[in-house]
Amino acid sequence: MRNYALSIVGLAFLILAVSLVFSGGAWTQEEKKDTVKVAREVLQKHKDAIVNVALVVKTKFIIAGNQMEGGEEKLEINGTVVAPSGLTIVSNSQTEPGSMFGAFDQERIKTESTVTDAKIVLASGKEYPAKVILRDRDLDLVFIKPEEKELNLPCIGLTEPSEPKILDEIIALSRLDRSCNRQPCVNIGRITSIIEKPRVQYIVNIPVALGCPVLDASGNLLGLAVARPGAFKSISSLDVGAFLSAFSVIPCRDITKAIKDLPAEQEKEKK
Amino acid sequence: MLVIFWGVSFAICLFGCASARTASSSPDVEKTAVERAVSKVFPALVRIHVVFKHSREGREAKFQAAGSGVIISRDGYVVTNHHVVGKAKWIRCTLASKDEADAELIGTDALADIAVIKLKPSTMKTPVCEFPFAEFGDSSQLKVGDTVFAMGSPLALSQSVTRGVVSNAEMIMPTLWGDDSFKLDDENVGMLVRWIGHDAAIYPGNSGGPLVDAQGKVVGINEIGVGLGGAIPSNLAHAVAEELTKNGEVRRSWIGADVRALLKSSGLDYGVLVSGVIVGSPAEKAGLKPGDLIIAYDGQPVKARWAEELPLFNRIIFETPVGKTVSVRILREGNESALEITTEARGKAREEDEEVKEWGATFRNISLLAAKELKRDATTGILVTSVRPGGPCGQAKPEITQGDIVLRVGNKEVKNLAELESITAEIVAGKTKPVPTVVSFERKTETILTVVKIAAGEREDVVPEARKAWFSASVQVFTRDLAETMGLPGKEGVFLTQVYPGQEAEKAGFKVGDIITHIDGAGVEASDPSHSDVFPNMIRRYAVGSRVEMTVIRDGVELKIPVELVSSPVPENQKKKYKDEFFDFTGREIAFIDCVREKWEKDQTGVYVSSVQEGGWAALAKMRVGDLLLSANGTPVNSIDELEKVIKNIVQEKPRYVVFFVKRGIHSLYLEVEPDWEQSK
Repeated sequence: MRNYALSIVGLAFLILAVSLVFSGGAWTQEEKKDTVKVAREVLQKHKDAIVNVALVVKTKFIIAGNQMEGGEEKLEINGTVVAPSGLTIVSNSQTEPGSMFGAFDQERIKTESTVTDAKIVLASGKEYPAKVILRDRDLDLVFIKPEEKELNLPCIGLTEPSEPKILDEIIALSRLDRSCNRQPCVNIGRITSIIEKPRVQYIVNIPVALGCPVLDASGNLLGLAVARPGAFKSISSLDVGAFLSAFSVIPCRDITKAIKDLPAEQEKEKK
Repeated sequence: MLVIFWGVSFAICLFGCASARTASSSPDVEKTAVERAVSKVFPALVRIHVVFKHSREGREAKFQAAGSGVIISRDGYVVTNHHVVGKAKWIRCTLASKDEADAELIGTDALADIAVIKLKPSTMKTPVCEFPFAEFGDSSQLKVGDTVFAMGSPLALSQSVTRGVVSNAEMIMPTLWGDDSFKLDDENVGMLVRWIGHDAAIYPGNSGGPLVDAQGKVVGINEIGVGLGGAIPSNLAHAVAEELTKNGEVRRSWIGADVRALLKSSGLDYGVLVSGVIVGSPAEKAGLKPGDLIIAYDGQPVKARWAEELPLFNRIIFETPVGKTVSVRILREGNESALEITTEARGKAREEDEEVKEWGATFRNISLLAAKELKRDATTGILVTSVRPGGPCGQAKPEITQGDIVLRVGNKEVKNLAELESITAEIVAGKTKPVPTVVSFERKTETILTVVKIAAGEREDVVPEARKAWFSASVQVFTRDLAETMGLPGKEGVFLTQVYPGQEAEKAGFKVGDIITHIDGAGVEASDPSHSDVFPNMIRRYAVGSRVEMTVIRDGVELKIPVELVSSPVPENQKKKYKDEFFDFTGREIAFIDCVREKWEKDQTGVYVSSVQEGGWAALAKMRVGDLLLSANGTPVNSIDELEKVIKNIVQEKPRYVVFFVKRGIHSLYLEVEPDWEQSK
């Protein structure tokens, strides 16, 4: 009798455990469905704030005092418009070809890159001539502003969301290049690590487009994807994990602080 | 027996003496030949230093190169190769006497790879009335095995001589390498030249120097190294040099027939086989057809049984007076007949490139031969030879690329470069912004329209860097190993490696060797080399001007040191600068990092040289990036404004010599240059 009773308890326990497992799975499925829904919504909401930025970069090399022209290069990279004026942020690493990799011995071989032309390119192909107004190498950011005044472009506001945790889901937005008709792009991933030193940065488990926004599962902006300067130096060709960790997301608060350093913003504050 | 012994001994001695005499006379003969060659030609050798232009990515870039030449007349005409001086913007020759003289280009010919320059005695330190010169010999008399000397300036070294023998007196490029394996400016040099192959050692820099025979006569002009050296025969070089000296160019005839050596299957041993006839050419107009065998040209029997004989036939055509009607006897399907061909001027295979900055591209006119190669009837239009990716042509939609031919600008047809430049000047006159202009261009068989935003100038933005709070010292991570070894186990932070003199950290009392563990009570969590950014980032989080308190361990004692975090120094690229277009260099104000790197005092005067353009006057003076310019022609240069004033004065006064005084590391140098004020206009 006792054994029969115990068996019933065991069976009940087993049924309860299985239910819990499946109900846990069901919660995950639910969570996923929600994030997909949110991702689709934020893509629609913010796609116009993700632009392409066309740059022309001239590079020169100085080797032992002798200057050699490296030539001129046309680049088209992603950027995020963060104000109606058209203030756009891109990743600095992408404006200095080769800088990410630290390929050269900087003492003997110095490279200097200059931007000779900049345009903000909307999805429609419309171009706005622009000017690079500030470079922040620490944060891997470059700020670009259209030359035309009185614009009112779609933008994404920099917010102060709650602190994300490891394994929180994230939504990464980007835009493809003109060969793909500049179509907007979205992906879902997770935060796999949170770097705290020297500053807070989030590492995610999916490739992210530099200069593009990364949002949390509720659709709030977490920050922008950037490259960690010098991160590529120590990557071996087969280390995918290290490759992914070379890209990170810097939080909005750091970007907001950097914007305050912009000459135009400082002028506004003085006024 | 004794007589035989002494007889044999005597004979041996005689033989030995005779051998000794022979052995000692061979080197004497050789020595005499070398001495003769050297004494006759060496004084006439010149080392040639050029700045030449080359189109690349829509710009005309300048480069330096060196070659050799030989003076061929008392008044200073020098023969060399086209590929040494043909595109030169500036030519300076070093004579055997070590004096230097500038030279001007008199004429150049890519097909024979021969050029003539003339020395300018007035530019010498010790001007002379006449120059030592070498004489041409008869290259047709050369035989395989003859001793020859290659003279010149290999690797830009001082004049030198090497010795060898003629390996092949009628060397052509092997067909294994392709029919046009040696092309120079689109000219197939092998069409005309049969090189003198020799084994006297030659190196880069020997180009243009003479090949000299044992009598001290110039029998060739060294041109190529293909394992063996290859020299242009003097008979050809002399003829071309004479025409260049007299007319500034070589005028050649063209009939538009492609010819080749006889087919083995023909069984013939006379005549030259016509393999093709260019559409619209004199040969076509006269009725010449592929397959015809030319057996006589202008009354002269001709043959090309082997490839080696083709240059001789080609030369006959080239040297026909332009416009002359010649009788050409042909064999066609076994029947002989005569045609009358009126030659036309051949012109160059390729015209010169020129940069048009407003378009961000280089262009060239289209010669007759180039038009034929492009399968065009007309030579009108301008060929695009290179494009700056970010320039107006490169940014047009659709973009204009290398190989396109510009036909119309706005509503005007442009036939040549001069017209393009004229229309461009009209378009940009008085404009500060780019002017969108409809342009029609040809790409292969299509005529395409685009809009080019023709710009008066080129933009070069200086991107400001974010200025952050800064601690005026260098640090390294205080690693766990250091902490344990130094008796501070568990301590984390940074170790001061350098305290910048005269800055806030020094004023606050920080010293090299201090270990900073906290900033305003917050721990500096750095204990591994990978934490090198921790401390700098903690600093950068503060606002500029903040006062912080750092916890420091010095000699085992903990201290608290307050310090102000001032703004980071102005980056180098944001320092005031001056870009000089004449000397082609840029100077800027000295930056903080320059003083740290070079250990200069904070109040160091002078101007930092931040850019030196290749081929410009500053580069020719051997100025380098990183030099500290202290004075120019004796006038101190203490600031950017002073630099601009001094340079502008020099450009106005146009002195013969310009001397820059610079500091380079621990050394100071005088850098002298002699600008050609006339050529630079």
